[in-house]
Amino acid sequence: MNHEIEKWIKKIQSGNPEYFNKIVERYAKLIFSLLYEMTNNYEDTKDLTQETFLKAFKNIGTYEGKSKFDTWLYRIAYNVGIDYWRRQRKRRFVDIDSIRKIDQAYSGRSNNNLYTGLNEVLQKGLQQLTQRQRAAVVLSYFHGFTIKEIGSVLGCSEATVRVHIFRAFNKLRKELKGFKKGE
Amino acid sequence: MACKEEKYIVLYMLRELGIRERITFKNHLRKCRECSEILNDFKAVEEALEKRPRIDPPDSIVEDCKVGGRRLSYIRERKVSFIYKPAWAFVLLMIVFAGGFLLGRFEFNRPDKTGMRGRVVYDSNDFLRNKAFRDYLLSVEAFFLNMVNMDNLEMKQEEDEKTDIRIMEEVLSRTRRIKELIPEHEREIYRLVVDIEMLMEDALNSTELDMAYVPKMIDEYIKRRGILTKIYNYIS
Repeated sequence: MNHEIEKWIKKIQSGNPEYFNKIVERYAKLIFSLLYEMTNNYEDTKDLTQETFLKAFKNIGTYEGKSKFDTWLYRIAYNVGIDYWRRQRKRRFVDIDSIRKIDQAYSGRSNNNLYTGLNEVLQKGLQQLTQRQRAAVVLSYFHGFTIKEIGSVLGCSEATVRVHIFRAFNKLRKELKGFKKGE
Repeated sequence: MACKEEKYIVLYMLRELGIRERITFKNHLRKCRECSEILNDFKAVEEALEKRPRIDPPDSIVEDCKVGGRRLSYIRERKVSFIYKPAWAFVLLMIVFAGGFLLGRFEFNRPDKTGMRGRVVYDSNDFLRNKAFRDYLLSVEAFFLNMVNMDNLEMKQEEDEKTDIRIMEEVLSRTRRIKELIPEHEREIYRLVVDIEMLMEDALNSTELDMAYVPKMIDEYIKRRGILTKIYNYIS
């Protein structure tokens, strides 16, 4: 798989941009799901995914193959998500329409709210995590990244990643405990 | 107080411990109630995360992100329009500059009515070494030498007078043109040319060529001849 991607990258670097579409086909939905976990906004995530691939396309000439392509691409996506989060933090408003679209996208049935019960608590807990903690958990559990790879994406050491995941789980654990007590 | 082995919980959960470390930590879990409790709680969180509904990305996102897709269409445009490439833009700019420069040189070097090359002569050396300027000085000198000879002969025929007037007009015309081309800092040459201009104007303003005026002109010319000689030496 990696060998195949390396071949595509070499083709792109030698002036065949159409091979970039193969990379898009493989990663677009994965990048979308990572960014959605970071932003929690369905519509904005579409734009951010496009922004990620645009940046990747522009900078693919600088990719030397020293790190895995996955981590390189995810790092771009993570930075795009962080930039978005910083911009949003300044705005501090909630777009009602986008929340409705999130619900529809999640359920496929607008009347069925999936954030109920345990999932609602989990979602609330995830929202309380820092961006790095959340990204570390998402990359580990939803994208199958190792701690070393997560370190490459987040730009920190393996020990720091381990601490991020530990703290994230600790927070989620407290949320879940509170929920179970309430039940 | 937290257990020192707590840091291995995450690694154990994510199966990132080596076999020996894993066995050691398992043994620790049997003894440490605190770590064991945390691990159980973390496993519950893990289970909840895995059961959590996942976002369903839109199918359109793949097409939207493709090169030449709806949102990234300008990549395709950039590929087609070579002018957007910096290297090509630079080459085009250089061609425009080179063309402009050559055109400018062509215009500048085209001789004008004075016989001088260029409307403005910026460099003093260029001006002094200019063939047209040398020809002009020679014509002035020839004119004055002619005057001296005529004065010596003390005779002037009517036909000769007409010729003199024509030559004077020609010299005056060339003097005026040359004056415009003298570099600003060449004040000595400028004064000389202005004097020649004034001499010519005075001579031409008289109703007829006043023979009495000729000696005055010659005197003035002799005074200035030192400057002329200096210029000749300089330009030769």
